[in-house]
Amino acid sequence: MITTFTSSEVTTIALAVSFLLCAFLGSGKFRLGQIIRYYALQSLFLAGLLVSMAAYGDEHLYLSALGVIIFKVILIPAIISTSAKRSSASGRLTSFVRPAPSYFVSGITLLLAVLAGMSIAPALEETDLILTVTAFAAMFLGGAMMAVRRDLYSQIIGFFTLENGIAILAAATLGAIPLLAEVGIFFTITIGALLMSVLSRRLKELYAVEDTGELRELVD
Amino acid sequence: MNSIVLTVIQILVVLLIAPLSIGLTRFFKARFQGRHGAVPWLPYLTYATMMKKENVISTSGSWMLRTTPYAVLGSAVFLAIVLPLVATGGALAPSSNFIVVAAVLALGSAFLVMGGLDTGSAFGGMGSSREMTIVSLLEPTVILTFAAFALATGSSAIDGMIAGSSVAGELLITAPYLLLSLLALVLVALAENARYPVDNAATHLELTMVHEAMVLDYSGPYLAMMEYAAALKLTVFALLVANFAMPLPLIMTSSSPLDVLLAVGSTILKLVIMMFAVALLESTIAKMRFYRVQEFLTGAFFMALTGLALALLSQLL
Amino acid sequence: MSLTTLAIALVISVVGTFAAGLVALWPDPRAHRASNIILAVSAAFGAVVGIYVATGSNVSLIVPEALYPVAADGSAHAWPMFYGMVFGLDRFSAIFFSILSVVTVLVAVYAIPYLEHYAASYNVRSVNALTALFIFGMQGVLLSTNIFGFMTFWEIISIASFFLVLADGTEASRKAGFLYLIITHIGAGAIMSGLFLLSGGALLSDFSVIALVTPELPEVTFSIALGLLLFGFGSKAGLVPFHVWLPEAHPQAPTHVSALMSGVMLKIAVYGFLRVLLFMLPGVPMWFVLTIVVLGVISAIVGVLYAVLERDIKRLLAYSSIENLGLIFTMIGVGLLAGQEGSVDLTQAALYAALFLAASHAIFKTGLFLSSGVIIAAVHSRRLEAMGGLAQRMPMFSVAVCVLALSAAAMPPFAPFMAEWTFLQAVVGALTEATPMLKVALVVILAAVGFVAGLALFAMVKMFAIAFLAKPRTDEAAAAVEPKPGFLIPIVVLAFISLILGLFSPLVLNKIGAVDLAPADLGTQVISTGGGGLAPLSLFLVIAGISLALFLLRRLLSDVKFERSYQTWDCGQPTTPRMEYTATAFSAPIRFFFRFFLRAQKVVTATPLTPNNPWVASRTMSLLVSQVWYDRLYAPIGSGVTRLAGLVGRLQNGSIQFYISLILLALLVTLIVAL
Repeated sequence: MITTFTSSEVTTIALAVSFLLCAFLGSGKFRLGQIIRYYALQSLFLAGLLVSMAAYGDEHLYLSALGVIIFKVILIPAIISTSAKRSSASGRLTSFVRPAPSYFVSGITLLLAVLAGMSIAPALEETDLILTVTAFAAMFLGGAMMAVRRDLYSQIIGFFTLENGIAILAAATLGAIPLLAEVGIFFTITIGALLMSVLSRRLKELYAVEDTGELRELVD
Repeated sequence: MNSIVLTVIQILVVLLIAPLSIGLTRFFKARFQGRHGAVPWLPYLTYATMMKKENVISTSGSWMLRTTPYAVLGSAVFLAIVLPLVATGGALAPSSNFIVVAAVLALGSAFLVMGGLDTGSAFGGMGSSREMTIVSLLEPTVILTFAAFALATGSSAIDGMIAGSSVAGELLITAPYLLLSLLALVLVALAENARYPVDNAATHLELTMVHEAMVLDYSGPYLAMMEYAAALKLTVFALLVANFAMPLPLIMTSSSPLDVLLAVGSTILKLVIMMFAVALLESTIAKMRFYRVQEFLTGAFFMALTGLALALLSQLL
Repeated sequence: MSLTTLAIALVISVVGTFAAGLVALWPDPRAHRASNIILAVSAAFGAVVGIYVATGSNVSLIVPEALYPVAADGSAHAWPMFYGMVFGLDRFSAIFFSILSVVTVLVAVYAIPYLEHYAASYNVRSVNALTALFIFGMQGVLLSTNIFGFMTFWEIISIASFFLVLADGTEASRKAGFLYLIITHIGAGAIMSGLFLLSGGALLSDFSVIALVTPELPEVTFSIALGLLLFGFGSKAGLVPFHVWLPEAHPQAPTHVSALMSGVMLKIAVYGFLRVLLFMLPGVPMWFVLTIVVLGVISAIVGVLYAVLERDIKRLLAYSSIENLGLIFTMIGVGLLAGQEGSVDLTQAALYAALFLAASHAIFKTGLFLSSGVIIAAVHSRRLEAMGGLAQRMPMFSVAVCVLALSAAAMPPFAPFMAEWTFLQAVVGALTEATPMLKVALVVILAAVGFVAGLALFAMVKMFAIAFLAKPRTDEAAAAVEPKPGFLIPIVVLAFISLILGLFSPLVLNKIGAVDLAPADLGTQVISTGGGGLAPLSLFLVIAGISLALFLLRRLLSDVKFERSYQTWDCGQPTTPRMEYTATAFSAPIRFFFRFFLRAQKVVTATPLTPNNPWVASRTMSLLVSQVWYDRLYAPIGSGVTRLAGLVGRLQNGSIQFYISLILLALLVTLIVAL
């Protein structure tokens, strides 16, 4: 069935697809700098999505788009890469699976996300459905990245991808979150990024640990 | 006749003939054993002499040692006043509720036990331990026995149980199913009064003493009180069992002076018969080892339980 | 007294308890006394209110209403800050409230010298504050009229008493405290679930609303709710087999807290149970009533048997509490059973006997625990075998304890005897016209209660005699002196109350509502039920008269001065206090007679001291009494849970990625399946 879309809907869909593409591609890269850049790109597309939704009426979504750009596109990648450089982390990241099969894994994840989105489908219209599917896909991709990769920085990026997915879901279903809550979320994830980077740096400096495989046992 | 007069007559009669029970038992037992035996009224002289003797108080005792004789004798006198032994319908008849009677019996035994422990000797402790076991395990039997009588006669006061007919002692004739309960009452009486097969009142060997061990350290007036209390309890139980079983007259409010004389005479007769029976029993069977007393107590309990069940069944028929 | 005055007094009582808790936390050394005095005074207010409401016929005290009479627009009820809940006393909860308050006054007075004596072992500030919180919780439970308030204050009781059990910081206290915490929380969960099921899921339901809803509940829900409530209230009250925490926790708490726990907290459980059973349910199925009766009888028998065997004085008292609570539940069960089978007299008599026994148990058990505190403080040991000779050294104290011990054994003329008399007489009276099933049940119960009464006498005589009589078995016992008035007065007062409550029991019974059992006028003070009557005051006068007469006769017939002190007859050999009978020896016949149930084991280990002579050895004897529910019920459950936890532990392989995948899987399943 072919339905006609308005131009704003087309932009929304295009932005969502680009967002997904960044997430998907980023899941197959194995160099730290590349992952961070893909994450920044993702967040940029997220900001664009918010702007296109703002065009419908919610003015303050412009503000949240601005917030996304400041925090997620600029600040957080800066924090993570600075910390990685300071601790001279290995630029090559390790994983349980090699590049090619990791794309395979990401593909399966996408399918599962579509399935999940479909199960909620009856209640939604087209654009909302695509946004929901995108959100789920981001969440699962982020989660899969955390589950599949071994080193600490991938875990951090995976977590933030997950968070992006949640942000899209919130924007799609709720429309607008109160500004105070949004600001709170931004600050929370910034602090989260700071903390995680500091922790990774400490682990690298004190225990020479980069691989979560060495973090399996509790010691006094 | 006034109920107060009845009570007074009963008190006088029972308190006076109490030492005779012990004396009669010993007399009959002696005759059974082929001895001449002391005269049955020797205990009167014994108690009188003891009252005049020096009271030696153990240094390890406390106020409990001095309270025990009064408590034990007090509970025995309470039973003598309240139960229908010589007269029915006395002034204190409502207090003869069987649960109250069982509790006062237990109270007297509790003080006896505590007095035995207060002397600080192993004899006293041993006697107390055994006596307390017997009394505690006998409690359900007492309640069940009297509950059966209460069911059959419709009265929960023991006075009412016996006063049901114009001639006392007809209870067994009107309600023969109460025989088991009466037998249980006999067993209870034997255990409470330290008679065979539970205890031997004539021995002072530690293996065989129960009651005697607890009074071992009393002397003088206190010993007289304790011994008299034992005799009183024996009399009370003997007359109670006799009143359930023997159709001999009791004094009631409607009696004439001639009836009073007849009743007093029949009381003495009942006492002689019951003491003869006790002596016969003690001469025929052997005392049980203490650890076998459990069987005795269990037997009494089940007898009482069956008696109650029979009483309940007979009401349906 | 007007309702407003009563309401103000009640508010003072509750706020005063809370204030006592706050004052206790002040760092000043005088705060200890101040806190306990405030507690005693506010409890006195509470006692006045409680007694007034319990004995008045139509008084029902709802606090917001009484303080702010209804405004023209009907808006003055309920305090909005408490979600609109109302608190108040009705006649039934007032009975328990007066028990709580009277006991609290005396315990607070006792606590002043007690904690000063033990200032080194306890953090006095926290013990005082927690005790006040504990009492506040109990007051709150009695005042609550809806589920939320009831459960909140119930939890306050549990948590405050948990910390109090831990108060002395020893290893044994920790273990006992944790066992207590686990069982009481599972019980609280069961009560909450039961009440939820009954109310159909509404948290802020008033009890009166639940009473309207329960007749329409489906059978299965109703039965499950009943089972949960029986487990919850029964585990708090110490019904076998949920009682295992009682003998561990009560001895470990500070003594005045043990008195509160045993005397009052167990009654709060009975209150909760009766509140649900009598005021919220339309009727209960036969299986439930029979279960109550069976559990009550078993608890009574088990409690008294283990009390007879126990050599630790506080554990003995804990088991005695289990026995009395078993008797109370038996009476409640018989009352319900009689109601279902049509013997209405027995119902009323049994239920009022249960209430009266609950009240008298609170009095004597508190007194006994407080006295055990005094004894332990003097002798520095909880073992009965370390005591002895205290009657010579503490005469007035020992008389008071003798009175309390005889009350505990249900001897006339004290209060518990009156309760048991009422029950037994009513049972015998109902036998004639009962249905066959009721007849059988009543006969069994008659035998069981008689058995329990006999053994209770044994346990109490043992406790009193070994602790107080004969010569002291240790040096500390020999050095004991009459306790200070602060210790002595509460105990004497409690003994006195036990006597007065017994002597005037017909009046008390009439005033709390048992108008069929006893008349109101002071002239004929008789309890009459089941075809028999008991006049406690005249019974007491007869016994007192006989004793007086004997006393005078003895003085007449013999010379009082003709007396000499000498040592006990000892066959010519020197006897030491070690040769006296001990508690273990005293209870040996019972251990022997019930060996199939108790399975006591004597283990004697002899370790030779010299290599060449095996006869010179140091010998240790241990007597172990096993408890069947530990082996058959709790140990298998415990090991099963541990094994299950071990299996689940295999999932924890340390790999973060594994955990994250599990989370994602759960999320996926939720989204696909659940939404």
